Amino acid sequence: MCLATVFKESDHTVLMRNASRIEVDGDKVIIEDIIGDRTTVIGRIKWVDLTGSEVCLVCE
Amino acid sequence: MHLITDENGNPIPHGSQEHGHCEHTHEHDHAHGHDHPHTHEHGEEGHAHSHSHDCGHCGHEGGCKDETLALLTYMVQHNASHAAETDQMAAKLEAAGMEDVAKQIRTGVAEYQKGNMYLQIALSLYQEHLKEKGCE
Repeated sequence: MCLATVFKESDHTVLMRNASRIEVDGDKVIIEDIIGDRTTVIGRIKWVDLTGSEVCLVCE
Repeated sequence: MHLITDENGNPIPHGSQEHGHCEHTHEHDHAHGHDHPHTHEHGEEGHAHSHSHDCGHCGHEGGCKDETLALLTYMVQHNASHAAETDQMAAKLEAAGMEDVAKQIRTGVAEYQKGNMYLQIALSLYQEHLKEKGCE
C-alpha cells in the first residue's frame, strides 16, 4: 500500500502528505508521516481511498 | 540510517516508541498548507523545523530525519514488494495455462526491477551525500 494524502473534507485542506499511519483514539485522529512527524486532529475518518492513496477526515 | 521495517518490508517511521523519542504536543508555525488548530509531535522539546531541512542542524538522537531519504527508502522497498506480488500473479497465470500472459508480466517485472535498481543506486548516492554532510 502506498503513502496517503490526508485532507479535511470541508475545504480540502491537506493535513498531511506521505502519511504512513493513522490511528483513531476516541474523537482524535493521529496521523503520522514517513519521517515520524505526527499531527493530531479532533474529528473522524470519513473515507479512505486505498487505490488513490487519499484519506478524508471530518474535522472540527 | 537505522531502519525498522514491518513484515512487508515497509520502513516504520522513526517517530515510534522504540526509538525513545520524547513526545509532546505544541503548536508551531512552519508551513503545512493549512490553518486550523492541531497538535504536532516531534522528537525534541521546543524544536521547530520544517519537514525537509538541512542536515546536521537538528540534533536529533539517532540521526537526521530526512524526508528524501525516507521516501527513497520507502519507494525502493515498496517497489520490490510490488514486483514480488506481480511475479506471483505471473506464476498463477502460468499455472492456469496462460503462459503468454505470464511471459509478458515477467518481462514487465524484470524492467520494473531494473528501474528500481536505479532508485537503489540513487538512494545509495544520496546516503553518501548525507554522510558527507555529517547526517548519518
